[in-house]
This record gives sequence, C-alpha cells and structure tokens, in this order.
Amino acid sequence: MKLNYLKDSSKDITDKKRRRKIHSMFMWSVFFILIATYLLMIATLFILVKLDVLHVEMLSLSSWLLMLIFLVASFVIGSLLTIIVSKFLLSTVNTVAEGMSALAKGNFDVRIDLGKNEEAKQLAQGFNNLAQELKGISVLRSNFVNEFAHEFKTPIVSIKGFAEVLKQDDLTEKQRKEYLDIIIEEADRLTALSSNSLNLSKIENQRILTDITKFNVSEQIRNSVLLLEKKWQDKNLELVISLDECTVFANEEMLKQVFINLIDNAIKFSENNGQINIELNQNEKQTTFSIANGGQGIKEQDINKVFEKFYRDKGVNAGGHGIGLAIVKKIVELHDGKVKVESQNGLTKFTVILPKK
Amino acid sequence: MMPNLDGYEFTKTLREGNAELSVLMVSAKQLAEDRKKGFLAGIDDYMTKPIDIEEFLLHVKALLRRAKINDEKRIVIGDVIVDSESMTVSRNGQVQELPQKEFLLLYKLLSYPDKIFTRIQLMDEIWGMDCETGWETVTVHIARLRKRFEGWQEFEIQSIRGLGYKAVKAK
Repeated sequence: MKLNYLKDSSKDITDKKRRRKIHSMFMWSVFFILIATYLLMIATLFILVKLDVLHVEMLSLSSWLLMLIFLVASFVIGSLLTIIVSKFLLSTVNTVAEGMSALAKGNFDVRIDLGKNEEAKQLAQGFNNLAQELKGISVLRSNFVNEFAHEFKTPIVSIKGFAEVLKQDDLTEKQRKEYLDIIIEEADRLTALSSNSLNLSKIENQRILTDITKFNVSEQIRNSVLLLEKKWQDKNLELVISLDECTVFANEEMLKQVFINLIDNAIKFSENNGQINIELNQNEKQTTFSIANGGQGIKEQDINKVFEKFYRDKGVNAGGHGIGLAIVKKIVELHDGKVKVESQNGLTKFTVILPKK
Repeated sequence: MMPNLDGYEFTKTLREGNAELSVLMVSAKQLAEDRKKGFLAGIDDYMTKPIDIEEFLLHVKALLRRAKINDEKRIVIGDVIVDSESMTVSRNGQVQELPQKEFLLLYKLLSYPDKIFTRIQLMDEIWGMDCETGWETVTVHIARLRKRFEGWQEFEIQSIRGLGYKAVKAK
C-alpha cells in the first residue's frame, strides 16, 4: 500500500532506513543467539572437564551419544537465550498489537509508550497520531450528523405542515396549487441537500490530499462554465472570461467541484441580464482564480459567515443549502490555498489562490 | 441496487450485441466514480435519481437525435446537405468536398447545434488527444470554414469569447 504524502517526501528515506535497521537488528539477534549458544556449550564442557565431573575418556563415547548430548544441550541453551532475547524484541510488537485492538474496539483514547529508543519513539508517535486522528474524525462525524439532521428536519416539517393544510376542503384552487408547489420545492431542496451532504462528508473526512495530477486548469474552468450553460443562459447573463492558459498540480475532481460551486453561486445570486467576470492568472508563486457577479451582494456583518456549513443568506430567496462554499473552503485548504470574498456596492467577488507545488 | 444483474453488467452485455443502441442510465448513485464506471461500461448518458421528468425527456430527445444523425450519417438544414460518407456539403446541386479535418469539425458542430465546444474539446475529438500541435490549428480551421460558407443563411459558426465555438442554425 502506498501512501501519498504531498508535503513530506523525506519520509520515504526514513521509512527505508527504519526498515533496514529493523532487518539488521533481527539478523544480529539471530546471529547472537547462535554464537552465544555455541560458546556457552563449549564453556560448559570446558568447565565440566576442569571440575573433573566429566572425564576426557567420556568424550570417546560412541559418537552418536555425543551428538545427542550436544543436540539436547544446544537446544536447551538456545531456547533459553531465544526466550530472553525475544521478550526484549517482541514486547514492542505486543504493545502495539494491544493498542491496535483497543482502537478496533472503538477506544480512541489509548496511547502507547515504547521506551526511549529512537525507532521505538517514532513508532509510538505514529500510533498515537493515528489514535488522535480517529478521535478527531469521530467527533467531527457526530457533529456533522447533528447539524445535518437539523437541516433535514426543517423542510420535512414544512412539507408535513402544508400536506395537512391541503386536507382541508375549503381551499381555493389557487391556494391548493401554491401549497403543492411549495411541497415540490421543499422536496427538491431535500434531494439537493442529500447529494451535497454526501460530497461534503467525503471531503470533510479527508486530511491529506490524494490523487494529485497535472492538468490544464483553464480548460477545466471552461468546461465547468459550459456544464452550467443552461443556468446562465436562462438568466441571460453575460460571461466575461479572461483566462491565462495554465496547468496546476492538484486533485482534478475536487477542483472541478470548487469551480462549479463558485460559478453556480455567481449565477444564482446574479440578477437577470447581469454580468459575471471570470479571471485566471498564474505567476511563479501561485495560481489565482476570481469570479465576480452583481446582485444584492453580501452584507458586511455576514461576510465571514458565508463559508460556514449550512449558512444561507435568509434575505435572498435563491435556494441552496449553504454547503457549496463550505466544500470550496475545505478543498482549497486541502490544497494549502486560500479563498477570499469581498462584497461592496452590490458587486461580490470570490478569489481562490493556489500556491504552486 | 438491482438484484442479480446491475446496470453496469447489463450495459456491457448489451453493448456486445448492439453497439448502436442509445443507453441512458438512471441511477441513485451520484458520485463521479459511479458516472465514470457507467460511461466506461458503454452508456451514452447518465442521470441521477430523483429525476425531473421534463429534463429526462430532453435527455431522451437529445439521444434520439444523435442516434438519428449517426444512423443517417448526414445532416440536413434547409437546402443544405452535409454528408459524412463523402465528406461533402451541397446546396442546390452545388457540391463542395472538404478536407477531412475541416469536414469533421463542421460535422461535429452541426451535430450539436447551439452547443458550445471549447477549442481543446474540438482538438481532442478531431485531432486526437496525443496531437502535438496547439489549438491554434482549430482557430485556423474555423476561419477557413467561415470563409467557405460566408453568406450562407442556413447556418453560422459563432465564437463565444473566452469559451469556444458553436454552430447556430437559421430559424
């Protein structure tokens, strides 16, 4: 299994070094056991002869018996030595195995200590980081589920309410149609909510950027614009597009989501016959994308809230769930980038800056 | 998901027997990997449940129109006949034979009227993904096409600033 660390390629070298170190430790242990067994055997024989317990004549016993004695003795001594050495080597493995099984049971508070040895410390550190991440993720997930459940209930309550009203006989045809339209609208919102939330949870649980490829980001932006063609044509919006041809190293699927969400928002909050400005340029340090649209704009006190999950401007009835920008922010951050928003005099501009890798 | 045989297997089996049939997949799965899997299996279009019936009908119409064009291998606009077998464009008996790339470019644009294509999309489709030349060659070919069909009322190739080109049929 290969892990893609974007930031830390020096880790490859330390991993190799560690592997070599562990292999040589094992080799030396086996070697030590064999040599020690041999030496102990010789020493024992020597001592026994010196103490007159064993007589040299005895050594001329049938060679089979001699070999048998040697075999038994080396077996005993070797086993004793191996037990002692292995306790030393395997205690580390045992501790880690116990820790793993605690994690598997769902206990993310477990931490291990493997002693002062540099290799052991690194191993313990790796394990403890893992436990920490798992704990973080489980907290995140339960928060997410709580917020999501709340967002979900609101349209459902609305649907139920209007359905109950529709049971009444004394409604006008106009009222009936209006309430049914509302029910349909809320149902559509729920659908979009679930698909967006699936995207969001996938991204929120990612800590490391994976699947990085080199691709033409200007073409990706053009494709994203074309994907939403119907929406901007319906509002008769003029698109002013000025893109440098450039390539980036990034997760293609995720960046596509960023552009689609930002362009979709710009379309949503534009007034009919308005204009949307899209720019892309690149220098040695970074790639900058910006999209600006006219319309109601964002109030100053709300401007920092737009990236929060489920935040929506209640004053504007433009649909949506407030997840799009949260997704954008998360993806941009995963790429070590920044996203900014400015809104003045009805002109709202979002800027995404991606550092060059 | 469907029991016994899922949509992807079904499509693969179908494609083996009939490469021409239009396939639109309607699925509850929405992730990019699911769509990609579908297209790799051989579908022509993908929609996610719950679907809007009107949108569904539009997708079906588009597929049928494409299938019809593929079948007939020609596009007719008023008096103009664009024939892909002979790579010619004729109007009122006057026949023009076009060089391959010019013809393919025109045919592509006219197969999807009002749809905007980027230069790179056209490059990839007609010149192939591994082509070394830049997309300026697309600009050049479009210019040639425009010159050829200058003043023709039946259709027009429009450029959309910052995006690409589209073919527009006369109303």
